[in-house]
Amino acid sequence: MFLGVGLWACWAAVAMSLGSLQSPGPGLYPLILGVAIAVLGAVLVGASVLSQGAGGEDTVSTPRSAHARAVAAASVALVAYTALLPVLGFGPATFILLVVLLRLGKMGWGAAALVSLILAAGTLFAASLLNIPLPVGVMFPQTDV
Amino acid sequence: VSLLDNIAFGFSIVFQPANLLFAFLGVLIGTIAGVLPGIGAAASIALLLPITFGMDPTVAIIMVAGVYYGSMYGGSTTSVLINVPGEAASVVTALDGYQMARKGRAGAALGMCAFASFIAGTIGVVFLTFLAPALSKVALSFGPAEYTVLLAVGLVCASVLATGSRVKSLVMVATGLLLGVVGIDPITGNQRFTFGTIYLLDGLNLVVLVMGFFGISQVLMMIDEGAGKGGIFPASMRLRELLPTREEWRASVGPVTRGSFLGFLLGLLPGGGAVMASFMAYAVEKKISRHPERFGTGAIEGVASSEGANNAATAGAMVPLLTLGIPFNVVTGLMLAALMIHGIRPGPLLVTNHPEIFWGVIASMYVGNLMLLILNLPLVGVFVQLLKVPHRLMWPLIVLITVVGSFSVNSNSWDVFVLIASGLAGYILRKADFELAPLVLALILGPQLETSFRQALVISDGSLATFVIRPIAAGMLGFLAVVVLGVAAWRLWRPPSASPTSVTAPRDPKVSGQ
Repeated sequence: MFLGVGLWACWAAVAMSLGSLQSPGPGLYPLILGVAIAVLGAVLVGASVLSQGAGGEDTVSTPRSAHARAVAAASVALVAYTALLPVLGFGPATFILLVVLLRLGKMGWGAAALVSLILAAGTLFAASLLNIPLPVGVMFPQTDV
Repeated sequence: VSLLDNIAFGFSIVFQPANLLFAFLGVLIGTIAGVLPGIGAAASIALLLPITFGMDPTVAIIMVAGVYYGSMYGGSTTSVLINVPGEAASVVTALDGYQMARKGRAGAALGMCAFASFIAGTIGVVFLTFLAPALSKVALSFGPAEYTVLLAVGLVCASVLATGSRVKSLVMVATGLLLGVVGIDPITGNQRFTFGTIYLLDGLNLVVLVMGFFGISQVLMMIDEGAGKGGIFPASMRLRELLPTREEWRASVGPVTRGSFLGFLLGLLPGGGAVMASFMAYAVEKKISRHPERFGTGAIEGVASSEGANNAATAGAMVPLLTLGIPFNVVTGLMLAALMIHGIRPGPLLVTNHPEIFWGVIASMYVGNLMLLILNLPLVGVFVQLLKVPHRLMWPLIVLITVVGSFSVNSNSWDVFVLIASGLAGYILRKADFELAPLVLALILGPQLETSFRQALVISDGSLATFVIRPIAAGMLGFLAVVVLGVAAWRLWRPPSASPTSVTAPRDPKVSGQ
């Protein structure tokens, strides 16, 4: 929750500086939004500080996840996937991601590999039929930052 | 006479084989989405959006609408059988439905759910048929000032009436609006929040964001819940006696009818929708019942009223979408997105410019409700089997669908990055009790809100008074004031523990939308 509030405050700051720097035309509306987010964020911070001050143990419940490690692993896998995708191409990268996800779902190595292979290959096949261009890999497609 | 012609025209559209097929697919997917806890109408429509690219817009909207009202049928099944509402709107159904199941009347409860849904859904569509064209004419007189106020009121109401914290919902609305700003300013051409990248010039892709927020974040939520679950299944149940007894019918006629009216009305309003409709209808029935103590112990009236209300509300929610082009909840918001992908802007002119969409989707709802009745009565057992599928098998599938879907939008690897990033952000927000529905709704409506806001200011020569002086705008602001004060008064007056939400613990009502 505090992380969320911090995020808003940060975003609001970006929005406000941008709003005041630019000509009122394009900046006006984001400025209003930035102010709104900042004010609401402040209210949230205030509310949580107040409820903490009241001394209630369960008033501020830090979000705890029952399977934090699995979620963390999945998140890392997803982020790694976006990095690997342009390098390895859709097929291999997706295969690896699916194996990881299925393993997190307590599936055996063999079964996970087989299912992932079928899914990845099937998707590639379907995509070629539907003319959806999936990244082939190594050629680093469209990373024009 | 002309109305009849129009309806006949609508049916001629629906009975084209392709439309009929996709209407069926839509209600089927909707039912499945409703049965599966965690996957709601919003999530499944988000996953379907890329598929609708290649479709004819009429087919696309017919299918997406089918998912919407189909999910209302499916959501009741799990409420009754295992006390886990598949949809937020079915939470109230679980109160009495599950008790009926425990008393051995599961069949009757499921049957009543299907019948009540069908009757109320049909009543709702009848209202929609008569009201929508008339409202379209009124909406023609709306200028930018009216649209600005209407959009703002709609967004504020949607968050004020939301289930969670109001402040948090408002933060989400403002954030969603801000995300909608990214890209080139439509009026002056300035780059905003692009951080100098080419990728962000076009703005963040709506479809990709929505799939991240609803798809990827849902996968993480499911992983969070653990892999072990999935095999939950009711001990034993006989589906032979799906037909309610004559007594049960007699008890239900009133609740279904009242639920339909109430549901439709609440569906019309900003921030209303199926969830609130079912709660309200249930409360009303309990109030006027001669035996209020029976509610919560397996009263069929409770099931009938809540199921009636949530289905009628879906029809009501279609009215602002089709006549004003302004969705008031996230699911109709996604329908708007599906239409905008095809360059069609719903609004007062939809009925004249695209009668095939307007009347086609309305007529499809008659047909779809009938399909759902046929689908849900004999096949309810089949859908229940879906609960046996361990949901860890859905993780890779959802990831796969969203990744491929992101590519199909622009063939750009950056979209996958945005997809994953929004998924992770969505997960963190949901863990911190921020609802994503207001965020996505604001994201969809944001650009329109800004454009009308600035147009209105230009027209009024910079005077903010334009939003208050014009009668329709003032009326809507008055409505907002009443809602805000009403909610505040209600919360003050009512003891905090009396909330009916606390009775059941839906596994995840948040993302399933309304």
